[in-house]
Amino acid sequence: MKIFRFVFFLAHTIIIFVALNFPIGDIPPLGKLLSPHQGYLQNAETHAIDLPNSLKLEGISGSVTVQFDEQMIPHIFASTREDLHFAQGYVTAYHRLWQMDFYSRVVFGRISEIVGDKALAFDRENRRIGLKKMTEDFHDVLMQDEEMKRLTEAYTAGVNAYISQLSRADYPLEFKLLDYSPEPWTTLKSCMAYGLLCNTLSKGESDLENTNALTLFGEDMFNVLFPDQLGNLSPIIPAGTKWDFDPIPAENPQAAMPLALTPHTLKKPDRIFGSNNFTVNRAKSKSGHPLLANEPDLQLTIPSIWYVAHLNAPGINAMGVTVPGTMPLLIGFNDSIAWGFTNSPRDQVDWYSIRFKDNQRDEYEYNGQWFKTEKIVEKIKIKGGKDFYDTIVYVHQGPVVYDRNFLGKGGKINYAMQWMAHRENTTYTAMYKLNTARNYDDYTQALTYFTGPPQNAIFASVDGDIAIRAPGRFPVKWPGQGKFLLDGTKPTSEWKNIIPFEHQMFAKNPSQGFLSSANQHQVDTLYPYYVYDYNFEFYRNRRINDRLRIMNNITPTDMIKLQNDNFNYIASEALPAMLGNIDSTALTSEARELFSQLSRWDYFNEPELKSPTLFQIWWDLMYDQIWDEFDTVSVKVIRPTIYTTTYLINENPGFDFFDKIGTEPIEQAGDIINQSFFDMVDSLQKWKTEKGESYEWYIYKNTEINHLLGIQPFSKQQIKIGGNNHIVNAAGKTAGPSWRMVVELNPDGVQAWGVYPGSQSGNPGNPMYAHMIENWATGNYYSLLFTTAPSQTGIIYQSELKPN
Amino acid sequence: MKFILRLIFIAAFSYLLPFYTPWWIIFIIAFLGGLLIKGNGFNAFNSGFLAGGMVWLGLSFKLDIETSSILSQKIIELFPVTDTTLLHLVAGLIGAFSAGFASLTGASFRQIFEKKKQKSFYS
Repeated sequence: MKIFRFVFFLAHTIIIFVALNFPIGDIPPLGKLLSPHQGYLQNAETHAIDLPNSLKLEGISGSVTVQFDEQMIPHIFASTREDLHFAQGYVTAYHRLWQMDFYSRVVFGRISEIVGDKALAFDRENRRIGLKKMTEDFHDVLMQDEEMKRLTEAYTAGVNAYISQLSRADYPLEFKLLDYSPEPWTTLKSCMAYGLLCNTLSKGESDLENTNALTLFGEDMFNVLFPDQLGNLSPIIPAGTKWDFDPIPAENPQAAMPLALTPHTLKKPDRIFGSNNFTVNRAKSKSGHPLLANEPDLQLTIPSIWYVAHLNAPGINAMGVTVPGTMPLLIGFNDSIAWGFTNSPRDQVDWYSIRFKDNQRDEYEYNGQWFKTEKIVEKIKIKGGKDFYDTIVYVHQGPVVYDRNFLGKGGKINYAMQWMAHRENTTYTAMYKLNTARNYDDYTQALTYFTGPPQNAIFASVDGDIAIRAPGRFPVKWPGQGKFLLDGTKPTSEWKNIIPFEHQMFAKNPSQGFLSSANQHQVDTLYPYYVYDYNFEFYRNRRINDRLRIMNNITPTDMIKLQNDNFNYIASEALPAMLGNIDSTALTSEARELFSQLSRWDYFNEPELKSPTLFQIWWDLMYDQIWDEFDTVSVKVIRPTIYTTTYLINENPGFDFFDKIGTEPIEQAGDIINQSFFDMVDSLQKWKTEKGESYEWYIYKNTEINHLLGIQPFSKQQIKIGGNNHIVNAAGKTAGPSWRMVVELNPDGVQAWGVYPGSQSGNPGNPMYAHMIENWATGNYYSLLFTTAPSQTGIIYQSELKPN
Repeated sequence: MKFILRLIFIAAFSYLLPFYTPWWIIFIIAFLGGLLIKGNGFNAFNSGFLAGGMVWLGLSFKLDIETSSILSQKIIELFPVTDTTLLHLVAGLIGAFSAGFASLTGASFRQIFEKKKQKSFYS
């Protein structure tokens, strides 16, 4: 009886323990989370910086001074490079450890391990497209460079020194919410930024969608819908530039393309991802020193993808942004130069249809023979579930991403992915050389190691040089090669040669006195090689160049203003035709009011204006109605660009596609414009009823910055910032300027200003969490502290790292 | 007296130890409290309940006030809870029931070995 009582109470106690110590579905273990000793309360901080003033650490040889300024940017002063990067690893982990862990899991396809099977498709795709394998290959190459190996190991040791002193109570909050622990960091994980960035920047293509469209509409119509050079009005390398070399020829095999219909394709990186950079020379600068500005536009997340650091040791005094987990500064400046990047779309992925010998998939056809495949089995661990095994078949072109187990119509579709990012890559070495470059020659030399993802690398130096170059690795292609699905059984569709470094596009000290890039066409048609991508910019570049052409006596403030410019180029080209087609006398008084509002608009997407909202609603409805044919097809297609659409409205209003499906009369552009205008009036009314009277632009646009896990209380919505996609101030709904930097190349002391929408600390419990968002939104930049020795002013906290 | 003694025992160790041990040490502490300090099941449960509840509720409140509720405000949005006080109450209940049941289990374990007191004719 008594034993029964005991067992009864013991059972209850155990049930309580289990319910509190293990996750229930998505709910984290409440015993762990709410424990005041170990749970979330231990992550709440009262001070901005919580490091000891003095730290004894194993792994450094001498004393390292780490100063934190008012934005919590670490200024690290060390006597050796190893100590410098060790401290860099330690401090970056202190601020962003969970984010580093998360990013490495994205690249290695290990998210399901921490969130469960809802991430399985995500992990499978990332492993199939090779993010994990290319990181391993990248790491192998990096470790062959003796200096990079040493310094990456030091960085890794610094991260691990931080991790090893963590108690459970100290774990970053997200570890507690997902109920897992940090793992040791490795030099392999330090390479994850390569895969992460390639995934965002160089994976984008639309070969399969193009093939679908080609199959459905025919070649002539395809070329009208997707013209290669239309809108190439303001390339990066000034138009008319002559090229003084003999290009390597590309033989067009004139073979028929496979006409296939692919129903579902991989999700693309968001089409508006992009950035801008620009630089002006001494003649155009008021101070007589060159100015350089850069802003990479990416998915806005918190913790921010960027982490700012200032690195100082013998031979290096540089400051800029890193991706947490990586050692080199990716965008920044030093005592002599400044550099920055924008993405350079160059179609780095081609798809090849593969024919297997049989269902065993041990052999595939190539050049009339059977070759052996390689199979790799990826094991994906799933939280709360069984391990998942995914077999990836490799052919010489690359991994067969689409197959019978993944988007491949049960085996009818087998497509291999040839991605330049899979090949040998030394970009970290290029980056580190840029960190210590002193002049144009060093910059050019550094970029010989820059093998991708393709970027537009802008440059300015205290010597007065300005330059831009498009480094990367590019196959020599015949016109049209890679735009569509290729036949993987034929050698004629392979990448045969690579464009030599000396033939890469570049410009130095142009007579126009400035250079810029914003993801547009890199060159005009004078460039001797075939250049193609599905996703060029047509607007931001023109606005930047229009402004820089007429600006003189430029100051850093002018550069900042240009980065925050809200001019809506699309509206300026489309709205006149749109308004011109409306008979304003035939409108209701409400509609007439909106019409006249739009007519008075100056095309600036300022946050508190209402006209940008009206235009955007109208444009979106009109665009959808014009391209309604695309909704009727059951296979994946992409729609023509905004530029092509505006061009057709203006130049060809009787174009076939303007006719709406399902209506008897044959519509022209004017009909659609009118119909969508009335729809806009209705839509606005509906919006106001559902969401309230205010429809100011920033409210409608709803720029948001989301936590990496989508946790709402850690995120921010409806940020008061203007602009939009395709506007220089490229703040869209979920993507935008992730780092804004302006540098003045003064030989007596390089000066810089910067801001990003987030905070150095990734801890939602830190009093300064997300503190920079407002200044970012209003265009108020911080003056970046940049000294050659530990500073006496502007420092809120100092920590000395000492050897043990 | 034993009640108070057990309460203090559980409360003190539940307050001090979990800074250095996993959070569930409270179960062990309360089990030992119920086991070592004699009392009936009802008393064991109640002293554990109060001790665990006070420590978790009190420390939860203290840490939150010290940090101006910077995190509790955000955490409550993850649950169907509208007030940070409720969050601390839930924490208090977790401590309370954990310690209460563990203490009760400890007492009932001890009772397995206790001989029934002979009711004496001459008391």
